[in-house]
Amino acid sequence: MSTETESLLRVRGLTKHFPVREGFRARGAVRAVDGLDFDVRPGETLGLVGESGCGKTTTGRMLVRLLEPTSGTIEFAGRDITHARRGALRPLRQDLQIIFQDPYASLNPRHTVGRIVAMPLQVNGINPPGGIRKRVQELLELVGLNPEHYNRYPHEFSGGQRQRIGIARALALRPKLIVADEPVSALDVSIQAQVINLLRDLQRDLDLAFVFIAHDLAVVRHFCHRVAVMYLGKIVEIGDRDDIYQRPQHPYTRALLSAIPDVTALGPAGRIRLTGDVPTPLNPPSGCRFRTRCWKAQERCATEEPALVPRDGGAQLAACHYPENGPIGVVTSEPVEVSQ
Amino acid sequence: MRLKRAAATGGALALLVVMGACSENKGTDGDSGENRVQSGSIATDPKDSMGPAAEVAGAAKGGTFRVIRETKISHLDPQRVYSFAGLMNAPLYSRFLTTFKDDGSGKVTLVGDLAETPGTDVNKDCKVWEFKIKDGVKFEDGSAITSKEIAYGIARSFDPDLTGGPTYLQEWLANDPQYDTKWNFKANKTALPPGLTTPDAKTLKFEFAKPHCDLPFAASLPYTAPLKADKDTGVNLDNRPFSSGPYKITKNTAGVELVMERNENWDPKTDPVRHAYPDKIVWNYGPDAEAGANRVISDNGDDQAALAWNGVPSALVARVTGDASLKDRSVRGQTPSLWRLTINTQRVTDLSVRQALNYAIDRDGFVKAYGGEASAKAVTTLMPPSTIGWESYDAYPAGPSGNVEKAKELLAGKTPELVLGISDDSPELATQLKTNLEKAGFKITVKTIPTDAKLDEVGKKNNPYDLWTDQWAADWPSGAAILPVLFDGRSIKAENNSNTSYVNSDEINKEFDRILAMPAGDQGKEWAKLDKRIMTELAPAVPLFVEQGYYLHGSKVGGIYLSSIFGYPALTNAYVKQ
Amino acid sequence: MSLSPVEGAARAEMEPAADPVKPDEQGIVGRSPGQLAWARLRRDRTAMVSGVVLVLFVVLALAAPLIAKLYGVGPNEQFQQLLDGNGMPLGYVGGITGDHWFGLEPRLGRDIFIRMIYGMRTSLFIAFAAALVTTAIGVAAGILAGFLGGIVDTVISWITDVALALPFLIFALAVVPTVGLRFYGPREEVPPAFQVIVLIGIFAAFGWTSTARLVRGQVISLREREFVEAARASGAGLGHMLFRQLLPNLWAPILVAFSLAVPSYITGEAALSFLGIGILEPTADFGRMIFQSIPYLQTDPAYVFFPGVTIFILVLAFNLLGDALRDALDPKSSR
Repeated sequence: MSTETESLLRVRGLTKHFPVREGFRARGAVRAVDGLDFDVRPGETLGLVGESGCGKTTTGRMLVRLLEPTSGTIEFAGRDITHARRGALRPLRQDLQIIFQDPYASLNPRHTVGRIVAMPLQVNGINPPGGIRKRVQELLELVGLNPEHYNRYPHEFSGGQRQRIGIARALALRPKLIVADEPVSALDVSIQAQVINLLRDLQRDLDLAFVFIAHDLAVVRHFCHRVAVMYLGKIVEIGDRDDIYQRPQHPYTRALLSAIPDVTALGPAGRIRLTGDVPTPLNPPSGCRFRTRCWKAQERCATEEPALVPRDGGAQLAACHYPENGPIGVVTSEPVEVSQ
Repeated sequence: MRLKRAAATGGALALLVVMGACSENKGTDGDSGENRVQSGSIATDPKDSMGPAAEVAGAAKGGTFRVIRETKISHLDPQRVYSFAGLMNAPLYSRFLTTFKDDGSGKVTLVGDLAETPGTDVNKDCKVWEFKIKDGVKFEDGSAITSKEIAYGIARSFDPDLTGGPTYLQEWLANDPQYDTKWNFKANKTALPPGLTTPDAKTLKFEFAKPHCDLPFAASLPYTAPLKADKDTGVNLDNRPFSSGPYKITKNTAGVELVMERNENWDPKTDPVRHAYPDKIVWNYGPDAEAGANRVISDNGDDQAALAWNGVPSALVARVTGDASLKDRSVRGQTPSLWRLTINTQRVTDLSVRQALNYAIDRDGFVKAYGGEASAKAVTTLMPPSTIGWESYDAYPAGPSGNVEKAKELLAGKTPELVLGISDDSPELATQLKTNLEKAGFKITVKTIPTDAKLDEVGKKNNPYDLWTDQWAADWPSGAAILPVLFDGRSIKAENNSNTSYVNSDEINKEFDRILAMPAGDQGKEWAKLDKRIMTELAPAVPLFVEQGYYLHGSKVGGIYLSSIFGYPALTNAYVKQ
Repeated sequence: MSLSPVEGAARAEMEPAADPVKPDEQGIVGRSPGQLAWARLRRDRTAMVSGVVLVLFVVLALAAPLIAKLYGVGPNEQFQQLLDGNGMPLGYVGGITGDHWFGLEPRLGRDIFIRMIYGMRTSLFIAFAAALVTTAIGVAAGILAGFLGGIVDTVISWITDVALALPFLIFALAVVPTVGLRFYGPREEVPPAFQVIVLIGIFAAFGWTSTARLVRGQVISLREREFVEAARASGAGLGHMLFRQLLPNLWAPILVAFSLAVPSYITGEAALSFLGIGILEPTADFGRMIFQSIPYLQTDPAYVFFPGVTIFILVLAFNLLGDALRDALDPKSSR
């Protein structure tokens, strides 16, 4: 692992509040993302997981500046790009790219595949040696598509193939980091594996860093070096993949992991059931946001917000006053029904 | 298959339409209705002014007579009546100082209506006139009509609020075209205008500064209708006049109908021209010319006793003339309304150009463009044939379709650029003139003028046009009501001109004065000679045509004739067959 | 030539690195959504017939002077010697003869056939030009309002509402007759070209609103789509987003709006001429022809029939074609 000083992407206190307006008056805000801190090193994959509504897609959009952060900083390759203007962003755009979730909406139905993949080159006025067409065909080949198909239209391809086209487009400018926003969630399970394998090969061959946003922990395990778990706009646990999967410290992480269906295990799997709904991001609970659904919540959890710090001296950070410290599958205290 | 079906219905429709037009049009015989020669006299014998009026053959009393018209009559107040419909309707509910005995044949006699005779020229200088008022003439409420009431009627015509009527008497009494500045009616309601006096209840006297030998004619217009001072409702009299005639207004709903019923206090023995055959006379407003004509053609129900006032529109003429059963129900004849192409002599100063226009004009084509021989008859004189003493002549003989070659000769290679002003409701006439005149080498620019503004625009001395069409109908069938009005340069003012050719010739002006000072009976021939002289020496206009009247009524109507004075249907003899 | 999606997917999945490609080999051309739509249109018989009829009309209209030369009669020539004393055409069916195929106008005696050809030229020109201008303005306004949102959208939407609230007819009646006076002196002729431009202007001032609304709605639904975000994430500027990404997806509604605008302007111009504020004498014009012919329905039906039927066929053909176009461009199949 590289040291922290070589971070490619450095996020501190990233926040996004969406103001709720009644007419012209602001009546509060949806606190979608509330102070994120994380790093991504070159060639590393960081998985960003959580339930729907936890703010991970918003985070992804902010990283590529499709949304403006309300506060906080984003540093890329040592430069602060949080509020950079379009002109300054231009060179950065080449290094930071995004892959979208919906293979049907992410490609312009009126453009040929070749034009879609070539779009980043044309927009930035780049003419690669050998011509744009050659580069497009190279990219198509790279993602496992027939390069002769560059004159076809998206409606002639399957979902999996379209996602590959989206990946090819993201690779056009030789980026250093790709934000993958749930790239396989809309695909069949059988295809998901193919695409993930492709991403992994690309990462290895091109030394790409990824911020991999997903809600499916099984997929994340397959692909990511490090994992950050988000709940209601905050990161509750972050660490190496093995640490997170084998020794999850935050109760929420434990609950998520226990929910992964495991076809190899027989008999009841000791599933932790979380009762109640996710609270509203308009008015999150005080203190620890997870306390309303946590079976081990105490008074302290309501009054004092736990910081994201190492809890057992290791590299794993967890935001919990009473973290779990046993291996997965072992529950240190009896699950208790928690009222909302 | 929807295409096939559409084609089939389309084809069937087409066949239907075409079949309707399948008979051959072999042309017309050139007959435009009765051609009458106008002659007139003044009856000085009081016996001719006495009633009752001669009975109309076949007439019966009773029934309701209807008149269908598109728009309402603009004024009912006798002092404000000047439109044709108003002039034909006014005799039904009002009587005047003098009136014409007329049967539609062109022979008219001026007689006394409320007066015993058509006036006495006291000093034989046409400056002082006296009228004796008949006994036994009454208003609708039974009160007597005396010279005082007639004088009051004439006095109120000076009121600037009561606009619309003719202005001869007012201008002559005040000796000024701006007569309301000379005498203020509102301030002097109990007095009379200068020159008008009532020495006693039976006598009415006019004293003019200048001779006006036409006074007896001028007194036949409705502004001499009597009115009691306490019945004067000012501008509201327009809705409910106070009757002195055979009918009185009983209901007047604007835009819908006007209902008149018998006035029991009218004495037919005192009236030389009017009858009161129908019990009720109703004007129905609303249907336009086509609709009115079609209603009368179909002759159903109440329409059998109806007259379509807007006449037979030119589009329907072929239908009506082709139908023999409609012949008895048609009333046709000439009118005194003459159309001319006025030349603005201030701009078109070259006499040869004006004469060339007279040679180039294709009157036949223009008549066709206007609506055909049923609507118009070509004319080459400045006065219409309905003028007493009229003589036909052609100062610039060019044939019915004009003589383009002669015109070119006269122009001698010039191509004058002329601006033709046309009102925006008849642009085809402009196209006709433009095509016609450009064959002779003129270059015509057409400018459209909004219809209601046209009269005002061309009446301005400094208007920008060179040519436009004008129409004039004399108020009584004498050249005195035509030639001096239209061609005397001394009457030219900044706006509201009638002399729209803007000619001013001292010699011709002297002729006007000379003839006007002659006794009315002798003027006829002199006007005819002056007509020719003006055309030959000045060529201030190109005479075009005289309007022809063509009216249709239901099968139960009788007694309708075309007024020899105004050319519109006269209603005084109307009756409903029982 | 084309693989079915399933087959193609399976093959791509199983052979990630396909055959090595020669750089200068021509790629297999897929069928764009536009080409698919055209194929669908070709199969619709009504659309094809309408299309042929329209093309015929346009050709006739463009060739008007040539036709006048071949036919031998001009639009302003008068044949009053072929009219009777009442101004009605002699002969059968309103004066139809070998020289005058549709007969003569009453009163002025002009040839109806050649006047209709010229009238068609005027009407089609005004309708097409007005449709083009209103579509262009509407598309521009709609794209800007839809894409930029915020204050721009608010302002443009407000202007659209005002333009929709203004009564077109009253405005036209008030403005059209007086505009000529502003530019031409009391002795100068107002040329037909100017009248045409005024009419196009009046239509343009009021007609762009429906296209703007339509396009704005489409753009709003398109701008949130991820391919637009992908372009922005790649650094695309406003121009690229509007013209390269959005516009190709807007052609379908724009084309349909245009093809339905043309017939509405044909009838609109005819209606204005009917009211006397369209194209003036002596220029031939459908609306005025119909207006002048209606009183002659009983006495010379041919005069009403020919222009009436022609304008009916013209407008019907356009409407049928527009409907078929809308069906052919059905977005469901552009997936």
